[in-house]
Amino acid sequence: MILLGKYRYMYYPGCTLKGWAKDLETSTLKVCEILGIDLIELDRWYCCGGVFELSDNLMRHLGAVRSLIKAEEKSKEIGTGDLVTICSMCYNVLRRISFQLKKEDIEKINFFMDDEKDYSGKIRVKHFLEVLKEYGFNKIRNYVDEQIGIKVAPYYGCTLLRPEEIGIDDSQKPRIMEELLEAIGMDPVSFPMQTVCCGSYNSARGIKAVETLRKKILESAKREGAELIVTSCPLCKYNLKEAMYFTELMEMALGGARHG
Amino acid sequence: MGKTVRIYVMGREYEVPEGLTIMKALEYVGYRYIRGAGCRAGFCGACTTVYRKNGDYKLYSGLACQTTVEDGMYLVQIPFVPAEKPKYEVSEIKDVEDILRVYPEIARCLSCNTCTKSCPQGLETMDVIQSILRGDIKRAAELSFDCIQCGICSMRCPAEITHYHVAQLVRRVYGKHYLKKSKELERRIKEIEEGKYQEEIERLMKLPREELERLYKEIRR
Repeated sequence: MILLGKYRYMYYPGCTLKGWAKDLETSTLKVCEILGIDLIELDRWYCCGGVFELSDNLMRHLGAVRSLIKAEEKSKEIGTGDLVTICSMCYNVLRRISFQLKKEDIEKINFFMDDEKDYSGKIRVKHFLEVLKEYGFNKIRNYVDEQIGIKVAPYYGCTLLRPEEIGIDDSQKPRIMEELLEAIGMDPVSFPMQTVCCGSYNSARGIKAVETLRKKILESAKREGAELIVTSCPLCKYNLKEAMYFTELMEMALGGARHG
Repeated sequence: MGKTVRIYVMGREYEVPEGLTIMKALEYVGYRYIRGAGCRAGFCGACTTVYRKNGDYKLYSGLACQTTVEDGMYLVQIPFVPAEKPKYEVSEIKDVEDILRVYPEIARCLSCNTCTKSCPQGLETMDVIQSILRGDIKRAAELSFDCIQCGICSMRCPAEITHYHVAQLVRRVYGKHYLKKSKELERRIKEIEEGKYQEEIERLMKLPREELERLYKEIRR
């Protein structure tokens, strides 16, 4: 039996965080260690499906539903139905699948997956930013070790905010990252292009639009005086080239290096 | 003759004694294996077979030498599983990016678990592929360790993944780059290279068949 604290969540990392976005995971886990938040990784989880989220083909949703079933099993052991993701894309996919899938579609998937228990829709998918908000930005203030105080522009992109029903904040005027940045001693700057798409997977096809968007987003942030851009999405970070994970900045502000 | 069951081979009905394996039953009705048979003990993975049962919607698969016949079975023997087997140099393959270059189709995995359900070894085949995708070479190698390369998983996969070849590559990569080297093995390889067993092998190669058979029986004893 694991001894768990007050703030405990099931954790779905996703493939990217175990691969080329390892920094997003390690910095998050460090932050959690400092704040006393327990993220307990699912014993079994599967690729969320990424780009397939919009597909009508139910086969494309099997990975996400199967992971949610594994979370339902794990929730009995942990005593919480909250499943946390850090990758914006995984958040978007799992959150949508967790409650936007039509009842008859869930039934079909359950019927097909005769090797698993049925998914009963009891999992609440949360993004790590929501977890921090629940924890309390004011409380986080007490853990700030170094007042870095630089101008930081939070870039939201699409997947944290759209579609509106699953957005972690107001889809037009989000504030959650600004509030967090302020709490960890930064000078947050909002900018007009912070909710514009980065071009997403078009970068894999070498499409020029991605480069155009990148320039527009970076210029928009710089015009507001930003010295740094932060994001929670590995793909946005890849496309923007000049961005940092918000958790990496948090780790620095909370004195991650001195916590060993 | 005791109890019998009816089986169908190439659509033709036969009556065979109950309790035979599929392999034995086919031989009982007069077929002779020239392909698709090997160790006859469930280890070599050569006798891949698919079948359906009367009144059952499922397509079953298994090893002919390990599955007993049931009444109303429709049997199909497969001489070998056709699968793309790209050439690669193990020393150049280390992580998931390299593996994806050799087998890009593994990224098409839908987590349907059909592979796992079809595995006669009871391996968690889907988790092998999913482990590779997240870069966990160790877990993939360990989960697939008991694979006998029968290829049933690859025949059933809707994403056309050839799990058994992919898993073999992963175990090679794991052995080459991650596992601790065995001193004993290295010593033995050196002995072989230095020709320690050369004389003995040459002697064996020249022996007549009868003498070899006698020696073989002696070893088995």
